[in-house]
Amino acid sequence: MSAPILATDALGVRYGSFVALQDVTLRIAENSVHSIIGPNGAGKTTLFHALTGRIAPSAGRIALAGRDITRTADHERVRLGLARSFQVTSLFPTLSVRENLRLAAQGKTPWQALAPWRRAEANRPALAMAETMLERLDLTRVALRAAGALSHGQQRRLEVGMAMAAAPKVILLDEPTSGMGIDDIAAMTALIRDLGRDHTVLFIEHNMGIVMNISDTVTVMRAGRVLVEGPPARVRDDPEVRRAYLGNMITGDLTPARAHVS
Amino acid sequence: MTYLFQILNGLGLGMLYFLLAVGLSIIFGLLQFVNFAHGAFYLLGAYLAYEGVERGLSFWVAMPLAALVVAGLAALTERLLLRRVYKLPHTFHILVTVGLALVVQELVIIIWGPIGGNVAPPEALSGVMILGDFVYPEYRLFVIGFTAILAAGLWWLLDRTRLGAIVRAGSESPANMALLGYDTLRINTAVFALGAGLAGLAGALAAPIRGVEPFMGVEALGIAFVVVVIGGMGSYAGALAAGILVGIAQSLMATLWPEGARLVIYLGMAGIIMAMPRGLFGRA
Amino acid sequence: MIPLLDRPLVQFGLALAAVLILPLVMRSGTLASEILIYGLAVAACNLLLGYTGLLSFGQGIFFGLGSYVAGLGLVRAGLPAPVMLLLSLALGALVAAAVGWVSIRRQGVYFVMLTLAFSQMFYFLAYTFSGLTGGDNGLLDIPRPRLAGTVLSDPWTYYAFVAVLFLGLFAALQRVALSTFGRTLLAIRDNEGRAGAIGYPVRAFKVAAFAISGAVTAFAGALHAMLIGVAPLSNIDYHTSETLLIMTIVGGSANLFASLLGAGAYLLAADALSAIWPRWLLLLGLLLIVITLFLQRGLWGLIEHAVALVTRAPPPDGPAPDRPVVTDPAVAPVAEALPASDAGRAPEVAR
Repeated sequence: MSAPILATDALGVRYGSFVALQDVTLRIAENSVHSIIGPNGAGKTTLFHALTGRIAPSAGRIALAGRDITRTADHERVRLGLARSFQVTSLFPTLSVRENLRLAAQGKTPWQALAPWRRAEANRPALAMAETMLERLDLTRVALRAAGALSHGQQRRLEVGMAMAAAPKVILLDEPTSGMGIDDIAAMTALIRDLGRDHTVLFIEHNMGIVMNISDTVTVMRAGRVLVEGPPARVRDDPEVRRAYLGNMITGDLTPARAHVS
Repeated sequence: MTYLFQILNGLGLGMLYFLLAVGLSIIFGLLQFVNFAHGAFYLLGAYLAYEGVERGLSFWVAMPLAALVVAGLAALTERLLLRRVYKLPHTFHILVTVGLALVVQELVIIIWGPIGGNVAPPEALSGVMILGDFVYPEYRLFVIGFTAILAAGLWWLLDRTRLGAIVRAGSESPANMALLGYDTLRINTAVFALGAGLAGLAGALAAPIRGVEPFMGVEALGIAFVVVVIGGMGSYAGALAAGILVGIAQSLMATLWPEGARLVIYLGMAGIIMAMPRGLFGRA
Repeated sequence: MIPLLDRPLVQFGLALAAVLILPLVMRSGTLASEILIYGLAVAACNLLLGYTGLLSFGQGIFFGLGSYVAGLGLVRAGLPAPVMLLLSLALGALVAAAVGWVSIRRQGVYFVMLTLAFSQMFYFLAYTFSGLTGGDNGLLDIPRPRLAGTVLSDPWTYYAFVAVLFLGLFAALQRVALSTFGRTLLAIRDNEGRAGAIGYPVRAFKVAAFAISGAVTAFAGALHAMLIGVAPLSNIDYHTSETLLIMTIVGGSANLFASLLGAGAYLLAADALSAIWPRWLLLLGLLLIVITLFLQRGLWGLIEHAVALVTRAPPPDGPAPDRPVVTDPAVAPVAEALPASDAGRAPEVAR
């Protein structure tokens, strides 16, 4: 196995006396789809916050492509190739869809954007990336609409697209299908699967159908620790996971996955 | 001895600042509402006490009455006007209360004139206390004692009663209050009236010390902000500590460098913010 | 596709028209100059409020600073006016960057309170060091600038001087607003957390916005001191900050011309009312309450509605294709004004 693109060593996060994350060691392989599952409060989103630099870990190390980023500022990590989407849609609601994507693409070269005399159109790669993303997300039709005026499904796609537009090495998706209807879920699943071909995708998901379908590796977390890790089939049949999930701490259904994963 | 004198002065001043700041703080805590009219309520309290004494009322009647009238007017304002703007962004909270403050200030000038006036301390406290060679005005001692009792009462109210529990719960999560089945509208009115009433009381208590003039409200607003910024928003202990700190600093500076007294307060605030962005007692 | 009134050329045309019309309809060249000078300072305030979402109660600091810099340079050092104008620009940027850098350590209301406290601090700084600033009396006997050997003492001649500078800076501010920088500010205004998450060093952008705003405001302050011949203490006090903010909101924070509108309306109303009734501020207070309740997009919102009535088109609320419409942050998100074409649009709520 080649060196992991993203790795954590004994990562820990505490809030006062509360241990949100403890001893989390992960190896995310390049161009793989790696999902994180676990009951609410397992520390999944905290893990994302620590990976993206939104919160500082209290223990352990994070490395991106072999480079230690444990203490790197969040916006700096974007430049190094780490982008994320949010569980709760977080867009620029009064700006157009195209502008949202252009801004996300331009985020790769943020200091250039600090020039108050420079026209936005001068950054051709960002413009081109916005157009590409519009097509890939099937949002060209609504490119001029305010992001806040999109349907929920469109907003979720744009949410993921914002992370993609930065052309990251690793893309972190926090519950990309949350609150989606059945049609939108299918589109999102296809999008993530497609993403996995040329990106490394790390995603949190509650819908077991999607997780079992498109993941190369699944990490199960509970109470801030890694419970089990492995390919979908093995994780699904793991007795400990079964036990954890019988406590009905997770939404989604384990059964449909069987039909797809053999 | 002059230092003791100034420290006592500063303590009294600081306790008044505390009353101002804690009012601002609880209004913000519960309503997420920045009250730029807070200085106007202080101004009104001072003038109402002034008017009461001028009309022959005893200060002991005029002072609490002024605070109650201010609280009543604040409740009315909250119900008729402010309630409509809570949902708007902070910009409009500020705009509407700045407007309100202007209206109050101009009304004060229309009613009482632009010059201002003095309020005699109550008869019983008009003398001085002499302790060896130390001489101190009795009224100022009274202010220190009275506000200390008030501070204790307020702490009890906020920490030990149901209203206090509701206010604290509401500051943590306003949505919870409605879920818990409280009549949020009435609680909002009550809390706003309490906060404004405290400002009015501070004004009434300050009147015999510093007199009344139409622009004392703006100055008080600035000081209240400084105290809240230094102490940490939403912190009772912070408001108390910062109020006293600012009061004593200002009072000591008045002997050391009178022209620069207020400048030092603001410079100190800038320094504290650089070192501790959340203030002395601020929470995350 | 950009709403007609928001197009950069139309905006500049409106500003140019205002500059040309003022001399035709106004008797006082001094008041007309004041409108342009405040118009500049208000546009700079708008860059923070409307574009970046920062409600700064400290704009008076920079305005007063510009006045003092101009006064000190012209009176004490005898430097030429152009040098002092450039110097006020530079010092305004510097001080604003410092004030901004400290103030943005806190957000929301705390930020507002910090800027207000700083405004008080600088006021007392000017008040305390009266040897330098003239204290309560202000810095007196500031001369008008000289151009081609003649002193611009005639009010309308000075107006022409101000007008040229105004148009230049207005165009420059437009350029800033349209730049990649200005558009990133809009993103920060809309959603600061996400702007940081997609890679922008948000604090650097805010400090830069402060610096630009402070530079222009100080420039306006310098022009003001030359206009009235004094750098008064009142130029740096709380009320100047408050007035600039009120003008910004009265005009509407949707675009830069709205700022000139706000400054003009405020100054003309103040001039007319204060002549009739010394307590006119009471009316101003009531006006602010009315604006809050009924006119949240300011005077510019009124104009949009009027234009919409005439052209029978709905008022422009949506985003533009290349340049997103600067929507008033203070107003409900545009989302609500636009029909969602897809059914089942779920609200953006955390669970």
